[in-house]
Amino acid sequence: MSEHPPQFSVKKLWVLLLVLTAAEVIYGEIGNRYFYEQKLLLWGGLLSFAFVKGYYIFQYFMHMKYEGAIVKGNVWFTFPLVVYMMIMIWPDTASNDKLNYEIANQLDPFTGKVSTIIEGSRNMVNKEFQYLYDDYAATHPGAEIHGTGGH
Amino acid sequence: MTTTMTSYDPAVDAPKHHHPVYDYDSGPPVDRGKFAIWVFLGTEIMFFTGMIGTYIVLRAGSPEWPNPAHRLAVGITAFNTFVLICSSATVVAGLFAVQKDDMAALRKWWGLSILLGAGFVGIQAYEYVHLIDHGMTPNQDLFWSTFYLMTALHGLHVIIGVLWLAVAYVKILRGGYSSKNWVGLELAGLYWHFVDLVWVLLFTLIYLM
Repeated sequence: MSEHPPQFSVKKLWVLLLVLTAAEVIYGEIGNRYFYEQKLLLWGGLLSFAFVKGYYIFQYFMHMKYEGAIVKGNVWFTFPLVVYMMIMIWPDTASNDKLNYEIANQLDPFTGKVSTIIEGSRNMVNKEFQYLYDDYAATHPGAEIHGTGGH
Repeated sequence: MTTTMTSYDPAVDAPKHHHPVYDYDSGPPVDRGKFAIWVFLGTEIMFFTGMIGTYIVLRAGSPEWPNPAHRLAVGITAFNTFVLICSSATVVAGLFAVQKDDMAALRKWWGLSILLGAGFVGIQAYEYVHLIDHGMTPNQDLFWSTFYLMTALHGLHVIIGVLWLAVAYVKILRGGYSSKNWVGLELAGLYWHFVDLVWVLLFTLIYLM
């Protein structure tokens, strides 16, 4: 157990986390409407909110701030590992044309061919996602598309 | 009564029938349970990193990705995030209460934490039922398969966490904890906060980005 019991106001931290969550959702909502294509701004902002919240939970609720060197040293090394893993796998995916996971790609088990399937016709609710089908068809001329996107 | 908790001293605190008591301790200068839970949480960090990494890999490799706001009920899940954060706060309030030997407050906060945790699971189950009802199953596309993979495994952690909190609650009712013995509650709390922390990241990655 801690030599120095955590000293912080639970109520203040609770309010802070709730406010940050609300602000994050509002930021996401505004971003989706007005700057959805500016991914750096949208994702950077959202991740900043998430990391700030995570930091407070980690440091105060999990009272890592008040732990000794053994517990701290036991955990902190995982974060460089996480960054290392992300960096090492990134070039293989983001910059590799061979790995091109089109949305809704499916391997046809009978023909062995990879087909691009926008599953819109299976259920009525997907009608509201018709724009996905249309966008895809418009930007991928000649793509082999099965299904009719709700038509 | 002081609220400062000193380390568990086997020479004083251990039941006499448990094990022989030595006048030295070869273990690390940290509570064994806490050391163990942090090692476990370290493996959990890597587990979720693998899963989130896979998600990022698949998403980065996809030329198109649907806007989650068009597919998921962000409002309900934002409320669910509130619920989980509240449960973390009540667990800490319970821990502070036991350190002051305020057992009534401990029972109140701990019971509330269990209810909030169960509420989170209930709302997620409600979301799943609606999605599956509308044909949004994991075999539809990458968006749904990664969505179910991550939220289901996190949900499993929440269920285990609720069970852990409930077991601890039974021990609370039996008078198993006091201002001199609360490390069991702290361990359950650490696991619970970790589950909360992971959700904060998953909510942003899956529902908002």
